[in-house]
Amino acid sequence: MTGPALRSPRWLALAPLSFLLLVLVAPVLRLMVEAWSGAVLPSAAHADDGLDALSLWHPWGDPYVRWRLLWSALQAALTCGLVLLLGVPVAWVLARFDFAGRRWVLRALMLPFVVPTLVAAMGVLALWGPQGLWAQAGGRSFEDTPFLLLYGNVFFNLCVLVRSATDALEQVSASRVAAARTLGATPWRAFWRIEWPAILPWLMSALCLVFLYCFAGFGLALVLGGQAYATVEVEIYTLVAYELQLGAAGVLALWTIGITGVFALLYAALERRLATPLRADRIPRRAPERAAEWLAVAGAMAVLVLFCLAPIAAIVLRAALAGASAWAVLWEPDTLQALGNTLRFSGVALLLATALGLLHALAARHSAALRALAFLPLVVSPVLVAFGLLLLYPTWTASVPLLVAAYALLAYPFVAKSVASGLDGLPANLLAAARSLGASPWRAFWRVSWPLLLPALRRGMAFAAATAVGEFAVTLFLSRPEWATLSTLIYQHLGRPGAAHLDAALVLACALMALALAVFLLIEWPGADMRHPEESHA
Amino acid sequence: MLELQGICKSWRPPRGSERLLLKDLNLQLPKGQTVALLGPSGSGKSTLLKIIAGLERPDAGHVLLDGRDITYLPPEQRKFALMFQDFALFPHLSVQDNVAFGLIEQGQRRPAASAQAVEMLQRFGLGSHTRAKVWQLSGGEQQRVALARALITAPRLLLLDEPFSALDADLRHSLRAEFQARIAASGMAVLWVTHDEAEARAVGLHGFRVSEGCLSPVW
Repeated sequence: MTGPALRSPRWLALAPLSFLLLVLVAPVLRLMVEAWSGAVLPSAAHADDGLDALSLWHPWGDPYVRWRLLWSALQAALTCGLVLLLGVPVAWVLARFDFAGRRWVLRALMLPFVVPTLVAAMGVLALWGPQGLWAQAGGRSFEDTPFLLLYGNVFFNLCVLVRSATDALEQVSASRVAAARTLGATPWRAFWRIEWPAILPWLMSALCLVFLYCFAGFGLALVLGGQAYATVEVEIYTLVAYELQLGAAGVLALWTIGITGVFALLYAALERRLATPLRADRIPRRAPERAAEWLAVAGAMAVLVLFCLAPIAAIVLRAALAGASAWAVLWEPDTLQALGNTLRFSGVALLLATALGLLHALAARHSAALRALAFLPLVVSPVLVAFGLLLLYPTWTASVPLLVAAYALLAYPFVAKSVASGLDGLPANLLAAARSLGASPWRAFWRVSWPLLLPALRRGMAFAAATAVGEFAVTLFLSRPEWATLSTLIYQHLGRPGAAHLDAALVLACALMALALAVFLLIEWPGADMRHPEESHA
Repeated sequence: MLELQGICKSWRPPRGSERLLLKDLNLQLPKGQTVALLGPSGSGKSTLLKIIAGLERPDAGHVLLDGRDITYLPPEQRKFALMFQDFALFPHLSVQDNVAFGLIEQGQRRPAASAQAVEMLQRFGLGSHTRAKVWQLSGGEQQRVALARALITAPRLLLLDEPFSALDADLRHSLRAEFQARIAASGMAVLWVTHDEAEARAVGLHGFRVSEGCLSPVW
């Protein structure tokens, strides 16, 4: 039931829609114009190719750029395959078995969503890099191989798939599986013929997200991809920041938007299909009994430790072993200034994101189209947003309001999505009861809706805050040197030669991870429900 | 003949203390007979059916079929058929594939299973719906598909868990008569669970009531 007591005026959408128009749509359109207007300058690096640099098909004619595009798609597809292979068995164990610590494992699955991209990249290096724990133990270094980037992708995206598949498996009808078993299907056949088709739409939806995150990923590819395995986003950044070829970058950006747009539409279509009421006859979880079942639980935990916990543990271990001199970096003036900048930009962005997200969710309560618009900032990568902002507002480049607006743009979908889910879960008859007891619409909202919405708002804010604190791509594009944040400071240390700088980067990564976690827990704790609204890493 | 000996089963709600759902329960079900099981919601009727079907294990006691202990035999090896309140039809399969499901799982080749399913559906008056998805059918048609799916494998025992609770009164009445006729023609033993005593008396040669974990004969 959706009575008048629950209707929210559409004009509430005015502020978030104007914001989207100014900070996202207009910059992206400007980017398209840049590409379309034939402003492509011949690249010095490829001038002897004899290719038509003005053509929109230029990226496909240039072997170097074509490889960037193809590799971006290939590494995203490979990641999809890997997380599917690893994630479904883990999710099955989590959905079907009850064991000590299961709830904590589910909570820990949120960790990669809170860990900043650059910290994750540092974790992968600390584990598998040339001076990583594996190399120190005598193993080969994985530098200049695609392994580092793929492992980093799996770190972030395995949890996306596991969460989604666990939710889907918990929706499988117990009676259908039981019917299949009594009709002669073995447990494996019942899974293959009944459970698998039932969870497939959820898996496809999660894989669309994984593909989007990996294809449009920037931070991981920048640090882990190296020369050979960097993605198209890194190429766009290089063209803009180092080669000043805005037109060529614009053409590449256009192709990136096109490809991510297709997957975003696919994701939106799947999500609409999945909006079904929860089933009542879920398959009950049971304690593992046989040795094979305990082995399955142990195997699932081993996969999660190896792919989700190990990089974080490696950073902490490497930083701890770095010695007191490395930890002294925490008290250096540059670090303190970066910490101040991180908190300042994130704090203001969080306030703005909260206001925008709340308004968007309230206005979009009964509009699927408005609701879908909140997803837009997650479709366009931060690199493209920053590039578009640079082109559209050249005089505002490196201004605090533009930087904070970009931060808020990346953070506010989390608030909007979470509050929208909270609103969906509000029983309409509670407000109707409040109204019938004499409460005005505003009083009914304040005394009934607001307290019930608060956990969802806090959850959204927690993810928004973690995103802002760890933001990297936009800061790299739009900030001045004196506005370095912890993320960009880590990147600066990584770019300098010598073990001391690597140790300093590891210590700073520890600090940034602790800060992101602390901010997240401060806002979210003790939230009971740990469902993520929509996750994004750039 | 199916025989239950001293079946006990306890249950612990998510937040609460354990309670005994079935206490030392005994029952005999001869071949070709239909026995009705009565009892209010939550009395353990459905749990008893699941124990017989092999979907749950009893805490104590034995399930015997023709004198052989099948308590720990997996459900797919028992050759029983269980019909659920919500029909439990597979939404991603067509009507024909739903009915053929059990035959394929029991080793029959797909073309032969499909042909047999079509023949069965024609006998059930559903010949024009073989290619339809199950959710395109009415409640009564879905119920017929569920029965066809259960009967096609010629199970040794048919377990019906409130088969008409999701249907309206008129349809329930007409389908009950049809079900009885089809089941009688198949000659199998049936355990029919319901909370409706009139329905139980109409279908069951014997009737038992499950109350506070115990089974007592009603007629």
